[in-house]
Amino acid sequence: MRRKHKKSQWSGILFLLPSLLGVSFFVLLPFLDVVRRSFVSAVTEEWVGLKNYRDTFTNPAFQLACRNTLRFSLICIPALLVLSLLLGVFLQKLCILGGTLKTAFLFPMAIPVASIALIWRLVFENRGILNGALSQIGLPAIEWMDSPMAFWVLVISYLWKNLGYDIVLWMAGLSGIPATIYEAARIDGAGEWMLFRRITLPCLLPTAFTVSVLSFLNSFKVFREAYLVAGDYPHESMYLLQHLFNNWFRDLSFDRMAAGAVMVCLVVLGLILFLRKSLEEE
Amino acid sequence: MKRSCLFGKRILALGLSAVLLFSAFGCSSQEGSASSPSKAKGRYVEAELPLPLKNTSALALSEQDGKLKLASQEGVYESADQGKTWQETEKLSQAVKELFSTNYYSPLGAWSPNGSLMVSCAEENAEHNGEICRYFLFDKDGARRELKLELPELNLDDSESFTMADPSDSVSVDLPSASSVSGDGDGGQRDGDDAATDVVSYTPVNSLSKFQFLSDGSLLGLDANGEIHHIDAQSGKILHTLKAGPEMFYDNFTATKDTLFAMDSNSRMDLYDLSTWGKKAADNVLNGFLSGDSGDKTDDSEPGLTYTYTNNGFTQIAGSLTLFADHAGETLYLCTSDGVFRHIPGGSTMEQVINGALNSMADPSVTMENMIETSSGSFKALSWKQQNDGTSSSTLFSYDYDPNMDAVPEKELKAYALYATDELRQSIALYQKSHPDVYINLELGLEGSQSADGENAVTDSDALRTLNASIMAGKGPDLLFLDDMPVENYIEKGLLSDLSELTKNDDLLQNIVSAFQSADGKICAVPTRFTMPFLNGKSDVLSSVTDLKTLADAVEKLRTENPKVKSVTGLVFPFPLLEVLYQSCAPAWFKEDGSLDREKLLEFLTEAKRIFAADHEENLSEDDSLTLSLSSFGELAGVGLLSNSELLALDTLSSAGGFSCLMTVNDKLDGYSYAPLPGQVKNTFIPTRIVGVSAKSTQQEEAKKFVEFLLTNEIRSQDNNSGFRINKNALKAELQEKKETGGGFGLMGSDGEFFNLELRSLTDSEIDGLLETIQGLTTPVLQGMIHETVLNEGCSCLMGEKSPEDTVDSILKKVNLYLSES
Repeated sequence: MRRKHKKSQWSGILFLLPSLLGVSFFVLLPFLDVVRRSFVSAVTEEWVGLKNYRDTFTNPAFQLACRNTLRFSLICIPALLVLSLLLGVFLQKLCILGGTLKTAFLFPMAIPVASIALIWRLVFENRGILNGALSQIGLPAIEWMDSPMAFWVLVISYLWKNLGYDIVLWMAGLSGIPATIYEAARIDGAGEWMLFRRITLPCLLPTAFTVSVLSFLNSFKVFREAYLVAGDYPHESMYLLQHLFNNWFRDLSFDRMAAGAVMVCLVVLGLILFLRKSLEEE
Repeated sequence: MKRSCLFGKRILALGLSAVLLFSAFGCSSQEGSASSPSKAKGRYVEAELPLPLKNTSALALSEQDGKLKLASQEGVYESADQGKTWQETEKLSQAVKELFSTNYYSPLGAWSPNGSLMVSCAEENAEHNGEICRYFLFDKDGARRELKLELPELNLDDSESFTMADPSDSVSVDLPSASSVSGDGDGGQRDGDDAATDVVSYTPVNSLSKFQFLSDGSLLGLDANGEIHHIDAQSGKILHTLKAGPEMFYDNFTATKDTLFAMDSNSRMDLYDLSTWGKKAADNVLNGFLSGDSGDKTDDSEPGLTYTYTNNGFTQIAGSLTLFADHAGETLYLCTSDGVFRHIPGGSTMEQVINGALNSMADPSVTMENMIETSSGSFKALSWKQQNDGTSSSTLFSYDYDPNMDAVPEKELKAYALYATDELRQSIALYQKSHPDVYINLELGLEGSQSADGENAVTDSDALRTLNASIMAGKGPDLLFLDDMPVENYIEKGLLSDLSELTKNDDLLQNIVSAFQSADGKICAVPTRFTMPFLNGKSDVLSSVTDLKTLADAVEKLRTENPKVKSVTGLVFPFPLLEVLYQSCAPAWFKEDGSLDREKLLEFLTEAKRIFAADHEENLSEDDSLTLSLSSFGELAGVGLLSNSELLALDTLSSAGGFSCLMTVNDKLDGYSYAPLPGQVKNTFIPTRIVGVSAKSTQQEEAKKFVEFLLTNEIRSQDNNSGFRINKNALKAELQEKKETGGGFGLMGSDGEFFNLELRSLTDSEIDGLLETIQGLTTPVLQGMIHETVLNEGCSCLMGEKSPEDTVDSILKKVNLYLSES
């Protein structure tokens, strides 16, 4: 019996090994190099101790980018989670029509980034569709991409693109909740709100962790659209950490970039661990 | 059974894992093997051979009976030793000389297989008010007869009904009509005697632009309509005419013994059977090579070719293309700036025989005209070579196979630039010529990345990120040509080696060469050229202008005094005005901590707006705006003043030709002189063609030798607008050449009127004066993100779309974000 357990343990390790090797070679080892580079100068690779961390932490552009990224995450991720959950529950109840609508929500994911950037330009340019519509109803034009509105354009774009994906994830979680529990609760007199609060939400907690982490990671991808539309230096309200890292890469500031990457990585890791622990406790 | 099934699955899994592993390694970079020095031996080596010509260019080269034969207007020559020495032929040479003793001049010639010679002669013809072409055939003994060709009439669009100036190599620029401006202002008056009006109109006549004899003695000729004619060389009768497809024309051809290769305007090669004159099946390999579309070709080891995009979206080989057949008439050769390529008709490959990067073929000042393969297997090429004074002359190159020479030079220097200039390519070609053991592999960040619409598919930033990735991976270049790159960042990060040892040379302009000198005395980047903003105006105006504010005052005053003058400075669009003002103001905007000074920037935009508002009439017509904006740049410094529609020239002086032009213009105006443009800073200059050596390079010495070569007096033939040389001797020589050669421009007013501006020689005092001015330049002006932002945002300010305050805020937001990153 013990031998069999040991054998199955080895089989598990063997299954994991290719993926582990890939992650080690392509992620973990390079990241160790990033950690090393965060303590040396960019080109000459002289040991500089914590100087890169100090420089990065006190850098105004880094501070602005951190603030914007944090603000973006704090607004977008809760909004996305709530919105997608509500829509997921709603679509789950629609049965056949729900499937069709789910596909429609997934449609933005199928549009190439370059096309989305083009649509952005058409819509949000100073003489674009949106300002055209505003002028039709007698309202003044807004510099969408060159004013604080740029941040909200980014938020809406993120929600529009990721809503479908999160809906699918929630619906997968919803389909795992046995219908018998709902039936029993209904017999006991529970209303829809009670069912949602007492059954759906607690049963979706494991899914919530996955959806939150994936939404958080996807939030970094919004940079592609922002970069294609507004370039290296967008309006300061949508200047994200990715903009800064991208520009530091161009300017050969690998030392600061490495220090910044290590700090961001620690923060992200901390957040994920905190989230997991919170959900486990619940 | 179950056990054997499990075993089979394990074997399968193992096999699949092995495949995965091998494919992973298969995908790994081949760089290691590619970068290892090649030990293969043997390559064609270039040598320049003497030509027996003094004043004219060669017309045709051929080999017959083991002897090279050369035709020119000065006579006909033979060489029995493959071009080392030449002997003049007796009868034929005399006959040719006799023909050209009259006023004919000849652009073309061709040798027939039996030793007779055909030349075309351009002749002034009063009936056509221009030139017509005549064709003469000489037999071996010098007997001459004219070949009357009945070419079809030239197809001309209505727009091509010509009104032209002197057909010499002059530059024509539209200027607003001088007569449309009354002379009540105090602007300069054009000297009617010197700037003579000379309008010529004529209808061009069809002629052959290339001809070649076939083995049967008949003739092939390409006419100006883009049609190829098969001509009876005895009667001049056209036997066959070959036309390209609809909307296309032929622009090059050659023939092997049985096939005619005719290249059309879309870079496709049509093949014709020389016995039936019917079209053959297309050669897809050849067409793919010519158009850059090699289908499923994935072999990176094939030589890279430089392509360019035509207006209609087709790709074609960049630069000139020379087609010729081998000695036996069986194989096709193509010569481009990338080298000589061999193609056997119907074959599946294009084989590179000579690598152009290792000889003069890559030199943009050299154009291969007539190339042959000799019976001994070497190649001879008649070429046009641009000389230091801008004129061209014939040069004969020989390419002989040396089996002991390394196939690829032993040392390879990797060089990187965002884009190439002719001067850069020429410098590399010259250096490699004088250092045959060195191969400079130039990588371009932006060129070759064009999309189908001709736009660059990558931005500067993308290219720089790719470069940085390769630098950090240890695969970066040895040499960096730093124009449009973040030079200061690279210096700060320690990427560039100290070149101060190379700059300790009295021949170099020390004030310019130290543009990037750091506080510790290191010079990690060196400009090889520079430009300077200047102001040209009446002496009293010039003396009143001491800074940007007084400049704006002067422009307003001139506008008030000359209300009818179309534009005070000729800078009627905001961008060029801001560009020139930037060059004399930008250094003043930076505080000691590196941030931008709001007040100084506001002052800049306010004064620039004043200048722009006062400069031109409010309702200047679009035509006038365009012609004014074209009137003065680079080689044409100050010419706008001659039209009497400008009073003050604000421009950038960037070449000896431009300076010569400025002096000539000032001669024709009363009391005009020039000075460095005073703005918020005085005595500024713009370093260009900046070069650095990577500190990570393992070939420091070799790379520095090349930089040293760039700073010498040797490369100075391209007198273009990229700036003055920083080598005093080279600069003096360029100015002296202008002193000797002069030259001229044909200028056209908006009413179609022409006047010629003959550039006069520069005097010694003018040359000394310019050198003194240059040596007084103190402040380098760098361009980059700030330059781009200020100009882009500033345009809206000058056009009145934003106030100067709002514009400054907008600039500061963007620029401060950029500055705060560092």
